[in-house]
Amino acid sequence: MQDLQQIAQYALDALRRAGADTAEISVARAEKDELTADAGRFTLLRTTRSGGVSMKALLGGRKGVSALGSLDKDALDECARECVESARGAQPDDAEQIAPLTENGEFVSGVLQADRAALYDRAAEFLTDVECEFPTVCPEQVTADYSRGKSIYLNTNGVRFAEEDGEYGFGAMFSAKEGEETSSFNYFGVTLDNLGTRFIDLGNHRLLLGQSASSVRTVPFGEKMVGSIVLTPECFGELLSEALGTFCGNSAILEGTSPWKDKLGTAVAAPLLTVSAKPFDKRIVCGERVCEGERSADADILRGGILQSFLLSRYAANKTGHRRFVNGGGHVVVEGGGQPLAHMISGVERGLLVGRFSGGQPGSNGDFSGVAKNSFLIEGGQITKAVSETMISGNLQELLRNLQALSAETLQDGNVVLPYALCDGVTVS
Amino acid sequence: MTRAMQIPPNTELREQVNTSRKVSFLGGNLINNIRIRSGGVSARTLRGGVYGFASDAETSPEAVAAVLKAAADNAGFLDTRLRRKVEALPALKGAVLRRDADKTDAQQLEYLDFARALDEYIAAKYPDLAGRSVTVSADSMEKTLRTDFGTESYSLSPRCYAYVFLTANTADGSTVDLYNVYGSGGTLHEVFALPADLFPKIDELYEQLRRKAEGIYPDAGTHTCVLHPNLAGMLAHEAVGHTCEADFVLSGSVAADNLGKRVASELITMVDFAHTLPDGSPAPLPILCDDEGVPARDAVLIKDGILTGYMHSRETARHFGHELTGSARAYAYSDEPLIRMRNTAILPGKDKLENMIAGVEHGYYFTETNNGQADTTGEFTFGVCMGYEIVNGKLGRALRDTTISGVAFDMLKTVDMLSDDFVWVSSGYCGKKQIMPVGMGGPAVRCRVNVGGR
Repeated sequence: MQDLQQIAQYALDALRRAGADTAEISVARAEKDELTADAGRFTLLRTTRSGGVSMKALLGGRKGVSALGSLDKDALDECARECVESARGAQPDDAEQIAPLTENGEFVSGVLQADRAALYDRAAEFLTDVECEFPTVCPEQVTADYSRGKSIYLNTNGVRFAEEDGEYGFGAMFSAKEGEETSSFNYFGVTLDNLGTRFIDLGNHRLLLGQSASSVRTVPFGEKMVGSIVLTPECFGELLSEALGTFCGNSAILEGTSPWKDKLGTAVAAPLLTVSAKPFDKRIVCGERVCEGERSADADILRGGILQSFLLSRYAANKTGHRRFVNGGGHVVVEGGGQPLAHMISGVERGLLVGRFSGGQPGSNGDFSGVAKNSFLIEGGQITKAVSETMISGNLQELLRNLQALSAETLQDGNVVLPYALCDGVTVS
Repeated sequence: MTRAMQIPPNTELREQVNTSRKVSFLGGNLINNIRIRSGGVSARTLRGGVYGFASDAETSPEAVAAVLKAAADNAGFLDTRLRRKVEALPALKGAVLRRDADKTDAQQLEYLDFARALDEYIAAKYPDLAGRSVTVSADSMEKTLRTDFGTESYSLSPRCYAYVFLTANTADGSTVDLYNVYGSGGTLHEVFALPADLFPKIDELYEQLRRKAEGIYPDAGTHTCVLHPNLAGMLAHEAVGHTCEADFVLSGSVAADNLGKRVASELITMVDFAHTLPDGSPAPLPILCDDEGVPARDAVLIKDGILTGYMHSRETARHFGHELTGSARAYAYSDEPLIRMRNTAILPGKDKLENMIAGVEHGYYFTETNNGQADTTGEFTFGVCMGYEIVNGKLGRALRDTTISGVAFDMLKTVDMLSDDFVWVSSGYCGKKQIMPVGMGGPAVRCRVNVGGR
């Protein structure tokens, strides 16, 4: 069996034959070419071909899930038997369901034909650009890849979705070195549907490389303070993602440990903050088109600081009585605010520009603490020196409530759209 | 399948299957009941100093032949453009290395029953909890490797763990969380006898959580602290181990300029064990041979406070002129080997934990960590999810979540006591392009570290 549709139908039938009342399967094939350069030199070209299936079987509300990294017919039969066997041992739960038939669809997105030579040329050009523009920066690891995949979702309610997409990816981890002194590492990554732009010109790449070059020598932050910090889009995205997972995710709502569990429709953040998940946004490359057997859609999580929705799966939604979220919750979009970054910073007498957060997993109450990496002192409304060994701590709920401003500038890397964020009430030590 | 294939020059051929199981109860609801099996074949070919790699989930003779050809073509693609004219790596003597393990995995139903028993125990005994979750998981890697220089290796490495997460309400209307992991290398049957064997440990976890709910935030700043062995392993792995991976050294890690120099108190000796511990017992996650076909040997990273070595692939060992350590490992069949730690540990000292605490006037005793990160600068960060204040040499109130940090080679010079006990932790994954199971261990360590607070 080579045809993906045939394989998908075979896998679904195998689950029925094994005894599933209702079932869903997703079958996929993927190929990837990946170039790697270590310490500024190409070291590897990797090509991977994979195929696999994920299966979910329900028997009287009992759920079993199996995944297999093969499309072999015998292996599919065995996987289906194991999946149903797993379900037999589970406890019944009426909240376990599969997608209803509302529509079927086929989606094609991105670039479906790789240009390997052009990808190599762009990656080589990036290494040369870094060497010329930022001679003290060492690209510790650079990867440039092209991925293409096809997948089919089927379930026993008659739902069928087919997706095909292809995208380029580029990422770098780097640090700067002068003599025996080294900067903290930093990294970036982008997802692309074309190779029309030099990699160094994408996202905030040139800015971050420059910051790395100027961070070899650092100063301590000095006296502890509770005050203003400016989060870069990368760091804001990281903390926002932690907050949404901690307060809106399946586990937090199912368990009832989220401090936002009763806050739907009420203010949980500053009025200037609207957070959406937008897989169909034009600035997002190859966003998910299908989620849990239904067509995905763009949706708000917070609008004007008001909580609009939790990020719930079908199961968690059925279990709690809340609405299921209409996409996977990735591809976060926060539109820029009214003022330029420079203006935002000019109002900070003493504070910190935080480029990266390295710390412990925030607790269920949102408390966080960690080291501010790739960060700079703000003095008299200006970014001055790079800092080291500087801790920041606070609470994610308070952080979102105390947002003071969002910058007009946004990071657009094909996966997210995020501005800089000015926050108050953070402890810096 | 791969045994019949002729291995071309400068090439490795690997067939691998990874399996995993996960059963999770969240608040009594079964949210995960999953088994995953993923496998295939891969080849890597070196030409002119660059590698070509290819993999396929299919393992038919035709697929293996295609993978070998694609790997050679990929190496050719880069070599044609780069023309580095680097000589092939020094030839190695072939060896047959085999590490078997019990292949008889338990049925999914047994994982379900085990997890359910733990969850029901917690639900019945501790109804006041704000939240609870129990996960029982297992994973294994089965690898068969053949190289052009005649090495044939086979390994099977199963692990099994139970994760218990508890959440409690606090008097101020907030919540606190705590978790612990129980288990080791081996299958479910080998690692766990009865769920009831874990009940006393869960009782201990609950008691710690109860104290944490009444806990305080530490004072931010630099303090004299005692790190429980659970954190010492993380210290060995994150703070020092990563900086001593030779690929990171080549990229400019802080270890690059410190070989042969004092980087720690003379109390500190740190080793990345391959497969056997000094007492002859097996390391938690033993590795006989890496995925380049190199027999694994211990890498002594720090000896009596002096930085003595790095962990190597064949290529970095040649670059530095060092002995091979057999540290290049790949997570999945479709992954290339990278330099990875195996079982990294600070060796124990001669002090008693109670004496270490008794000598601290004002400081902290940190007992559990939930993550850790390292930097090229040697700066490390650990999330600390359980600990106690030390006041006048005695343990005081419990602590809320915090973070500790330091610069490894500065902080290690402040170590003035090491306990004579030792703990291995092997449940985690190290992240470095690919994930990888690793072991880490150590004694209790007394040192000066930066503590986050309010």
